[in-house]
Amino acid sequence: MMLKIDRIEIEGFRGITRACTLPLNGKSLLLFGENGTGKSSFVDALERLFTGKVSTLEGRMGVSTERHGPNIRISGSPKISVRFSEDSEFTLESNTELLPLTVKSYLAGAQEPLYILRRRQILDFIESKPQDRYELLQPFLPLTEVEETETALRRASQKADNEATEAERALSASSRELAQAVGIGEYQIPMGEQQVCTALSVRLQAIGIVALRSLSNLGDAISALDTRVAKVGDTERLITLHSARSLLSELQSSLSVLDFTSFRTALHTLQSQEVTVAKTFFEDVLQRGLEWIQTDWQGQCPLCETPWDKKPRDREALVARIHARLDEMKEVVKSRQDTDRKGRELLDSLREVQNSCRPLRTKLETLGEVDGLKLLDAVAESLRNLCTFLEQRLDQITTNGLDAAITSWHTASYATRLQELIARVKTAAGRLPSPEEIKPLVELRLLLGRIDELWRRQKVAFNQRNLARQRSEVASTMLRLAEEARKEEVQELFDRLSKDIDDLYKKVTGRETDSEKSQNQGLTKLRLEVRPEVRGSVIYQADFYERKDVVPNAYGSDAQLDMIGLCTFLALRRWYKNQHPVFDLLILDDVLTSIDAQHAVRTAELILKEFGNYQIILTTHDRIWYEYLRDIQARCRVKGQFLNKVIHKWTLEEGPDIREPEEERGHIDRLLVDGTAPQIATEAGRLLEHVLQEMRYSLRLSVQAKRGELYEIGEIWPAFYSAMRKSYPGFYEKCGETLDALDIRWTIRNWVGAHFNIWASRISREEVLEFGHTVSELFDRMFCKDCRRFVEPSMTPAGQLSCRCGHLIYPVPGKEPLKPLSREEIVKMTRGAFRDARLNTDLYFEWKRAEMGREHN
Amino acid sequence: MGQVVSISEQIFKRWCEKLRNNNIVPQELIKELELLHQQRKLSDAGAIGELLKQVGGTNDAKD
Repeated sequence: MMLKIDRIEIEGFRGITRACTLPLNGKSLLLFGENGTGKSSFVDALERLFTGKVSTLEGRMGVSTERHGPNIRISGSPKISVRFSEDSEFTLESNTELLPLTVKSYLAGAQEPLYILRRRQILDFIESKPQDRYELLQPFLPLTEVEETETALRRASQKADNEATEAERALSASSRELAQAVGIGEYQIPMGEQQVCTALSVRLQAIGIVALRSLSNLGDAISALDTRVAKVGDTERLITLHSARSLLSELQSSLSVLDFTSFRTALHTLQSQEVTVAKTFFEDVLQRGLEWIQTDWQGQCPLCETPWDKKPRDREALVARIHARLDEMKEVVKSRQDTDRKGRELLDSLREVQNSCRPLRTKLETLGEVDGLKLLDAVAESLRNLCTFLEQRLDQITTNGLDAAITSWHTASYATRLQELIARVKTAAGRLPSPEEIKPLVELRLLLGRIDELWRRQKVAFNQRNLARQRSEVASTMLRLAEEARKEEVQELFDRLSKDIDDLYKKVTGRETDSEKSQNQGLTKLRLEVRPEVRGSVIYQADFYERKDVVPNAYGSDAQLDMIGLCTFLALRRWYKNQHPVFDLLILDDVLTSIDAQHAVRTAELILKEFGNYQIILTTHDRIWYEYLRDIQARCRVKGQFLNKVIHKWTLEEGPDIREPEEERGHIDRLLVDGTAPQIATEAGRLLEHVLQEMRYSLRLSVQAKRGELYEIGEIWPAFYSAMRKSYPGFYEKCGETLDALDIRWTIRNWVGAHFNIWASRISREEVLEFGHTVSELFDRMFCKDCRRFVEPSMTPAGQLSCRCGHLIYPVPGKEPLKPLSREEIVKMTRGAFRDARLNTDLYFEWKRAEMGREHN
Repeated sequence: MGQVVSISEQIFKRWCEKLRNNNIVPQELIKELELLHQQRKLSDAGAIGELLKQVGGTNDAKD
């Protein structure tokens, strides 16, 4: 059992001031009301209750549901409630969690206002731009999850792209580094193996190593170089050998220039002079004695203290003698100084040689040259001894001692032994290449090692680049296919929708049953299409005669576009119900206004037939259309599924008056028993107004136009009274007294019930009661309790008034009453001419005249 | 009342079908995507990024 709305209660919202109840009892609703009588307030209230807002009050500058939803005369919060067939009630304050599951499902479907179509919305869809149209369709297409996935894929794809670009850059840098190392200016990325091999092969072949055929052989080339370098053993050893050889040569050279002879000769000469001339001792004595004599000891001899006899001659003779002796010593002094200098020079040379032995010793130790070390140690020991000897005072150095030391030095044959050591080191060094020869080998070895590393790095960068590219391609493919899947799925949905829209459009345009030729006339093959090249964009396409793929608004009239918009909405609504099967509400708020009668009839029939299983709320401001919709209900056999309501009038204080005629009539009956005169006058006046409003439409009364068509009794009564007397004599014959009485008394309504004036005080209660009874009588004469319709002019015969069911018939005097024909009968009688027409007497007469003309001809 | 398959679900199925019929996206990855879909994590770019890292093995393996 489908969940239906049983009752709607609204108070204090939009145009609805006082509590107003629509007792649907699960039925659909047809609501008629003139413009400004609050029809849309019912629609707005339902939207507010189900969605939390009124879409027409949102998005416009300074207007909002919260501020402009509540009725301006009600200070408290609005009250809106819906009672469902499951006896569950949903109000603005309801906690949805506590509601039954079916009601929750119903409300879930009702959350988006996709079931409400207002007049102003119809063209929005048709006229909107493709992207805006997609936005409008979005509520129908719950693609949020899909779009979020696409966004995530887009981000992942972008990231993968960035990584691929980065990997590309890394590979480029790696190749450049490799090319620079190999020494190649022009290269491809990644650098080719053969190019690297060729460049390296030139250098390998130059040193006698075979060319590289592939870099997998790089290890072989490195091994060959390593072998070559290994022959050197330790390059340090080579350098040490060369260094030791150099130091040994220097030592040998230093030893060879050691000048023992010069010092020995000087020493020998000195010592000979000292023996032959005098002891060196006297030199000082003489020098000192001279100073004494000349300064301190002028009266006596400083040695023997014998007086000089005070003869200056003796003293001067002594001084002369001392000078003479000192002159004699002068050669010895000079010789001593010379010997001393040469001794120091020899000592310095020896010490220098001694010092040069230390680094040499380190080298020999490094080389493991044991014999060499022994020799060097011996040399050093001899040098140390010599130094120690020469460091003595010169007068302590004897020629013999010196000769012994020199002899000992020479006996050691250090020069010869050093020469042998040098030869040995030279031989060892000679067996190895020179550092100049080894340098290119080492450099090439280092280069090969670097190339190996760079090639490996380029390979890694290449792999990573390829991997990043692959991931990027996978990511972009995933995204592309996701977009394709969405577009295709949406397009398939659109295709189904388009077919539905096109089918609906064919039905409302009556083309469904037309010949194939006429089926291709005008706008045909309406379809929604996803624009593949643009994200989130929907275009509307159609064919127009021979022109293919045109936008409907390029050729369609406003009415046609209205119908297309309506058909689109209906197709979407049907599709949306597939998504929310429990939710079956369909609200059409005055949407058939601009469509011509013929199409409007078909549209109404289509809605009632195709959406018969929906709970429909249909509003209209067109009285004739309202009546006709009631006919269509019967024709479509859904009459029992509809509650038809009329908003008789609307006032700011009371809101819309939607009472049924019988309710008003019954209320008067009660007032006639115990009501006050003003109450009776007011209610009787309202009922009379109601009757006159109905008659204004059905009798097509000529009334002076008034804004909002809110006519009062005084504005309709004269035309009504006149028409009844002249055009409907059958009715007047039976109800003339009532009419005449009311023609006198209708003003009572104004005097007593509506406006206070002095006349009211003169009206007796009896007169008011009479007015009430007369209005009730007129109502009873004009309203059929069976078909719940007021009488109306029969299509034929002219001048007859009857209700729809024929229970109330006022035939033309002298003629038999003719039960009104059903629509089917009329269509049959007019041979289909009135199939989709709004039927009325004028139309029938027009047709009848045409028929008669044809018959005469 | 039959189970209503949402358009999102239909799109996902179509997407998976397309992924399976193409030779660029590895089959293992499609299974992982299905798993993410079940976990409602397909809107997580990070999770998709992690899946992409599995394409072609790990970076380390390629090093």
